[in-house]
Amino acid sequence: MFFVRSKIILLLISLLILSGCGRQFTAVAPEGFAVYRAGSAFRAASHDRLVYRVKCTENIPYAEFSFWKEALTKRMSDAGYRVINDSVIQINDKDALFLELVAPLGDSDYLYNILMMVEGKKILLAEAAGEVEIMHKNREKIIKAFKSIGFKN
Amino acid sequence: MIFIILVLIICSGGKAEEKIEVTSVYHVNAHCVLKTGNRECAAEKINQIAENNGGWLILQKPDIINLRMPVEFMNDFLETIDSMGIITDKVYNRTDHTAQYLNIIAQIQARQSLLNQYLAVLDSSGTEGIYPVSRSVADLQQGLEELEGSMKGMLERMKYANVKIYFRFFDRRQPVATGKSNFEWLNSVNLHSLLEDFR
Repeated sequence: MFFVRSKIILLLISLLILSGCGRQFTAVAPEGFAVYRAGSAFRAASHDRLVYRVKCTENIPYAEFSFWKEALTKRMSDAGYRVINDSVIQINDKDALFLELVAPLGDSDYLYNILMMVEGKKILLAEAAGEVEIMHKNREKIIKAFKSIGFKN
Repeated sequence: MIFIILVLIICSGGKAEEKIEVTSVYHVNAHCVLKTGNRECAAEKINQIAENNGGWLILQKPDIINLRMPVEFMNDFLETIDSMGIITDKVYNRTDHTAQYLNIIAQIQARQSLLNQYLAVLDSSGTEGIYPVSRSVADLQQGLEELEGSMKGMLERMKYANVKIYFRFFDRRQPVATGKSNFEWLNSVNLHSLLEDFR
């Protein structure tokens, strides 16, 4: 029984290592959002179907923030999103790309916000999405949540 | 609408005949996608603003409003629309009609010149020639009036912009889910996967 448990624990640790960076970041949900406990990404959702996710990914191939800023903006535009805002904001003295994108999905129009930060070999991505009007009403709460994320030391 | 003044010399047979001031003529089209919590209220407000500023409604459906607006009020109008919600798409363009306009002016001048010649002939013609000449004069005058009417109509149309305000994207093409970026992690950033993660 002890060996089985140990193997499971080892497996979980391996999975966490393989998944990149697990929870090497801090995040809080926007006000009024319920937090999902499961998964390596930080996830939260609101009653009016807004979703919020923070995840960490490997900086592979390695590049500086300025490169990923251009690459991510271009990729989203090429993918068919309308970029209505692409600005660089400061979070704890670090540059972060803040993208506001719009796209039709099914019968609704969606607003999709992305925040991207780079630190060494890690890239932190925060995303929020929902129907445009509802997202617009909650814009300040989402920006506040974005500004609270950061890399763990 | 008239913005740029050009000075043109209309030439006939290589000889400069008349120096006229010609304007650049173009038609303004604008459309935007306005996302707002209350479409009916926004539509009513837009109609009101248009009417108060010399514009008028062409078409109103739940998803679209089509208006004519005086061009000089367009900037203020679009700013007002901006403040009514979130603008997710905006297109502003102009269609140049200067060549068409110049063509009408040239036709008017040619006919006017011919008419003057006919009138001179009419003065000197005897009783036998008066009937065919006066018929030609009447035909030319009718043609001139038609040309002047179409020129005035054209200039009048240019004073008003065609504005379409959509309340949802009219182009419903969805963004691609994955993409073909060489950088793998970029392909994973998309709305579909985010929403899927919560299902």
